[in-house]
Amino acid sequence: MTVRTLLRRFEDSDVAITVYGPPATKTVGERLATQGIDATWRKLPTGHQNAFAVIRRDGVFAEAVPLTAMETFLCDPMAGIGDSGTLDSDPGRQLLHSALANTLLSSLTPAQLLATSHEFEDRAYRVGAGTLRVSFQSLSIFRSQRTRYESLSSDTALDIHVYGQDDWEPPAIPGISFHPLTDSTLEQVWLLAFDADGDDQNKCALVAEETEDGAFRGVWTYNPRLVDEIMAAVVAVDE
Amino acid sequence: MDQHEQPVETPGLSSERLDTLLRALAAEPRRMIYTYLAEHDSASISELTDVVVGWSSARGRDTDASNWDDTRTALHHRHLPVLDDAGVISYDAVQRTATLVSLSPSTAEVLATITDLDAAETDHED
Repeated sequence: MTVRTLLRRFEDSDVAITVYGPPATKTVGERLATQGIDATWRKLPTGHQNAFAVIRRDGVFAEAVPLTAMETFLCDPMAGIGDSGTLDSDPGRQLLHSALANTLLSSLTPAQLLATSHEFEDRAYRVGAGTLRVSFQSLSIFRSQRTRYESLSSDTALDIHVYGQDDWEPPAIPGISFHPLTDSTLEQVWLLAFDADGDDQNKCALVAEETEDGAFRGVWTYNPRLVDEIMAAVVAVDE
Repeated sequence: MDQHEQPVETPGLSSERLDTLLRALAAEPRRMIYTYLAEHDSASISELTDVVVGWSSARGRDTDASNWDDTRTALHHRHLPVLDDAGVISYDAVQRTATLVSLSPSTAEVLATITDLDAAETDHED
């Protein structure tokens, strides 16, 4: 399975999001549309705090989420996340990530990928065991995440594997194995997959591919079988 | 009574009419439906159910996605007929579509006052 074939599976999924709120929330609908989502804005005098979005899959109601979480992710994804990225748990962010799971987003920014990665790293931190495999395209990109991963590794029993183009000599960090790659399989790929030590309820994965204009098209999922498949595909890259 | 002598622009409502209107908006889902239709004139029951479920959850009411079907049933059998009987909307139970009816200025004013008070209480601007 390549990343491209994986993403293709989500191309035909029918997801429609309607944003309900005062005129100021119209931009959220527009931002969703730039992600390739069928998005509509409907005026409703809810006040900004109580604006919400309704997600329909295959024409059927799937979920209603507060707009604030979605707005943060779309407009200012790193809000509230410190430089090193504190390991925390934000219910709004969790809800947003479950709402947009299995939805192909066509124009993700690195900040949005980082926010999603942090959400999944936090989940791995809470579970505290299992295997976490990540690829940030090049190993050198890991430098900015080092503090965060040192905490992940030292505070838990996680088995962490970092993949990437061989452009940097990583330091030895207990609990973290580096996999320098010389072929181009993951060159364009931002990936994070966590097996939750076999607990299907906590498995998660993010897969995104850089497009020609520098944005990423990607998807994240909590589907355990899909996560298993992604984990296996990453392992195969370095065999 | 000569209309030109009315102290306010809108004539008063009979107490029976007022009772009917107050009863019509005595439930939060019906206030939500009225507020939505006041903006959009007409909507399908599915759309109104989305609004009631989403808005209730945004207001911190105890709801979850699984109650979407229950909410739709409540709208179809109770809330939309009550609003229809009060002459606030017209509900086509076959097409499952609700449409705001043309309201007298005094009726519109009473309904707007109630929904504004509701919004001021529950949807604080930050």
